[in-house]
Amino acid sequence: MLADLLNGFLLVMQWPTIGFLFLGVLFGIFLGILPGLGVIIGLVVLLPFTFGMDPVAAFALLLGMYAVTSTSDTIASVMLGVPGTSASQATILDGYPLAQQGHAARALGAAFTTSAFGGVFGALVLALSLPLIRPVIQSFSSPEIFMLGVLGLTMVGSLSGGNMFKGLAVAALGLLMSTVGYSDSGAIPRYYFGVDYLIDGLPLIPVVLGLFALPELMELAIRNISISRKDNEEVEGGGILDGVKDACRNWWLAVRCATIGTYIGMLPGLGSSIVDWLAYGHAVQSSKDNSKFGKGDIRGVIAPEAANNATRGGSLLPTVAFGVPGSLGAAILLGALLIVGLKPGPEMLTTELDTTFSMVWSIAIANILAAILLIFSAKHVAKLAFLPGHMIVPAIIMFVFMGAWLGGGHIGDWVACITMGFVGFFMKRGNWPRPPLVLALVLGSIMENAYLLTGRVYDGLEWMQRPIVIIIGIVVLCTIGFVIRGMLMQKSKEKGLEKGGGKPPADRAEGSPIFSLPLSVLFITIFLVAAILAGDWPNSVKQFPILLGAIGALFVFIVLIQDGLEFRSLLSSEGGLVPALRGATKEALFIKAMLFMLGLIVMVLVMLVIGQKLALPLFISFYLAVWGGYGLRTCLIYSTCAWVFMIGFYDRVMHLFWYPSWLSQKLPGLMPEGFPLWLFV
Amino acid sequence: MKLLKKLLVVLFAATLLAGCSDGEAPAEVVETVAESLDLSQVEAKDFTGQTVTILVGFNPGGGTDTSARLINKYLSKHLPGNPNVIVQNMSGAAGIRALNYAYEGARPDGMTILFAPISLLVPLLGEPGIRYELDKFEVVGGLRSGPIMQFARQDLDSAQLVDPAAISGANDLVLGGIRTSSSLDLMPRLAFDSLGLDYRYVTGYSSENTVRNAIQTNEINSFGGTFSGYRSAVVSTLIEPGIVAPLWHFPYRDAEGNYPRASFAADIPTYMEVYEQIKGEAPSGEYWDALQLALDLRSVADNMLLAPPSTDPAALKALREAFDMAVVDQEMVDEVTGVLGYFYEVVPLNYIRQRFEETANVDLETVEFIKEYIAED
Repeated sequence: MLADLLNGFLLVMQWPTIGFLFLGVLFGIFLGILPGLGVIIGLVVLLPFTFGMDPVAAFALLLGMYAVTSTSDTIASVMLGVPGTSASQATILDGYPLAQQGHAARALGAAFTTSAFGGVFGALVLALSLPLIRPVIQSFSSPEIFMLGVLGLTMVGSLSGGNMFKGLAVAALGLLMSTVGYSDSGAIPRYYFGVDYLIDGLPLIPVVLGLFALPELMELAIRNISISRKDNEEVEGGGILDGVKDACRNWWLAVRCATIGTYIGMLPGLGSSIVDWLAYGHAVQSSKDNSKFGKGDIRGVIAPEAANNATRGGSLLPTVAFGVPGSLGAAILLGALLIVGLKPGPEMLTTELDTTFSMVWSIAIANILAAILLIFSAKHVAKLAFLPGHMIVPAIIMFVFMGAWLGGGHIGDWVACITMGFVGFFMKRGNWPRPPLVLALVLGSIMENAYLLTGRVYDGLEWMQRPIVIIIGIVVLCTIGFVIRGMLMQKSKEKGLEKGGGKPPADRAEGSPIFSLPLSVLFITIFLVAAILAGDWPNSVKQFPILLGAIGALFVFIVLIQDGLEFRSLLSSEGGLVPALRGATKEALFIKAMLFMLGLIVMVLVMLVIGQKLALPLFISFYLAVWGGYGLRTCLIYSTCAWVFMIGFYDRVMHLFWYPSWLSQKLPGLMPEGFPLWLFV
Repeated sequence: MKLLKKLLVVLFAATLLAGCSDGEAPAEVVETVAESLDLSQVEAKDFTGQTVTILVGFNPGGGTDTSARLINKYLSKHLPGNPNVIVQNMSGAAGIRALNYAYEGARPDGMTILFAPISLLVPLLGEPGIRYELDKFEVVGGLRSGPIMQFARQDLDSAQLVDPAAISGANDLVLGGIRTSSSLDLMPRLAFDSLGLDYRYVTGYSSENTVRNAIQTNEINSFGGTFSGYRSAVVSTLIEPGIVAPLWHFPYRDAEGNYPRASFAADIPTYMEVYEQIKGEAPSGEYWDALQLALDLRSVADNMLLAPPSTDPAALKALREAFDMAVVDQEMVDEVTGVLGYFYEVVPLNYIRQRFEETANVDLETVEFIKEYIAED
């Protein structure tokens, strides 16, 4: 085995393999940084080049890309509060507050260091525990997969915001949203209301970008503040090296979280989607002082980042050895590896072990390379946090809208993105946590399948007697118990403070019942209507939505009572409905936010006529000139850069399917033969 | 009513086609049925400096996408003027979205073509959202990439499952599937029902990958899978380790109406062979009729390269000639064989046309039977 380990290393180190690995890493970093891009897009672009390549070199190219997107996607999570890929959601909880406090560089430094550590650790630990893998994987059938999903959602629901009931209600809402369109098994499309776009279900990326990015952009645009709420000079410490030191100081946490990432991430079904939340939950629960989590605790960055990179390495072995990919990403990677000549099977652990180890090494080396490159550039990236909002917003708008467009290439993607922008704005203002919705949307169809399959394979409650199901169930209950205990302790602390004459901590700064209550009413209506609409469907199609409708309505009902009480006390303190409304909307800059959204809607309408290649640069110029008050020169330079990027990357490299605008239908007839139409429509 | 109307259209087209092949159709009618255009007098279009887009209705990395990306380079090589040929993914509604777009949205200038798995059964079943009529497309070429296979765990019975016929004695059969309307579900179900086997049907696994995982964990013990999955993963991860064995494959129908073993899987019996071995007679009965219809409608070509209706004849001619040259290009044969482990079977155009025509005479009762069979849960 040691010989194979060495041979594998030598295989990777050969020229040109190591060169391809380096290329893959560079490309992976690029993909991770841009919102909406990820492993899938990476494979599209890379695959054509791999045909006819030597397998080991092709593996290196693909794995290099695959291994590091979850390192660089931290940048979007930390700087913008947007989950770059679904794997780095938990990072935003503490990473983004750190950036707002001016500590972006520190957060990035810690994240890249632990990412590299996790990536190497995951690959090597799993390689050393090969004999364990098969039995573990084979004990995970549909009931266990379902319970893992429940565990993941409980974690995110109870940890991602102050109010557990809100978190769990949002998780139920996300699951319900995942049932839109065809179910995997049934032949009846659900909740699509005659709209073709919805038949396929709500796509993840437009929803994520709308939900997280648009409200943040609104904030930056309206207040013209930088991401960091503090000036560069005010911030003390917080350099990259501080982040690296933080990572080293918390090495034991990183080891534990990387272990979680490795072993949970390799489980088939949904293991890899929930590891960052399990790791985050573990960090919170195992810390003596956990009061800073969610407000910028560096451990909240270290834990998920160590875990999600460990997953990439960890899930590789079961994928190649048993053909059992642990995640969608791994499944796509498997497809790509098959094309370039992989023959998965037990031989990968015996006669072909050196090839397997060469893949493990590729991942390990890629992780280290990426971390070094990123640490050296983090200083410059982190400076973005101090730029004025108006300089950042237009570029991000372009990436957000192109990212939303990428997956489906459907005008519905933009509509969904903007709609979720509205929802996200209200959720943010009303203190409803947004991460549970995204995780639930990711897990929804897997959990529904596992739920239905469990019902078909096992009789009655037989499945609940399976040992792993029981263990996960206990962990779920403990998590809930832990959170409730925390809430009770918080209450008694507040009471103590009140008695002592102090004021209760004002962590409701952003949450106002004025914004929360309408959402409660909306959500409970959605749950109830969804359950009623499902009534006539065949059994397999309606079970899951009805269950969710009931559970969701219950959670929202509790929130509704809380909101109602707060609303009443607000009314009495503000002296009536009108002043209360006026106060809340003024504080939330409601009018300006709606104007901003209106601008986006107009941009989409203009796009229908002239197409994306012209509408987005036009919007950028317009925004800079009218909203930002910049001069013509700035507008021209900025929007030309954006236009060049759109043509150069999205059109020429990715062969994106552009919207067939009115102009694109008319222009070919008006222009002479040989006119480069692709530059404009 | 809608179905009837559609069938009438097909029927009308078919009679025209039959007439045209004899060279007797009046000229103005020929234009309405582009399929029958005589391209021998047309000069093939020169594509110099152009970009030809192959639309794929599925996500990158899947079987259809892979094939399209293997073909595009060789189309470029053999098209006059060597245009840039690119693959664009437009996934949605199990491929229906791209079919709709190629049918009603794409310009018929030969610059946009579609590479898609084509089942003649899907339109007959009346899935919502279908706006295309298959027979209106211009077929550029057709490829087969292997038959659907069915597998079972070897430890199904107390004895090892060596002989596929032993399936008839198996207890506790659990058939896993992806979606009730998928061929990977429909054919194995009909096969078991036609044999009169008692089994539990568990569908809803999200992909072939998940199905393969479920048979490893013994949650299910039989499933239907694609040939490419068989070659790339089932053999090495399930058959060689001794976990599953192939039962049979669902063969293609040849031009004479027989069902010989598919050349891809010549070492594995067809379903019909195993049926005869178990029952001592050729398959029959309503389940068999349904299975046969499903087989016939699916087995025209697994993938077709289609051009939008009434595509410019000069472009169509160039595309067809380029396709014909590409599929015999030794370089392409080698590359495809390297990637997939085997090469496609090229399906002649006149065979595809003949089979398109036959859909007009489909037994509507059997179609109705399949519809209800899929809907029952």
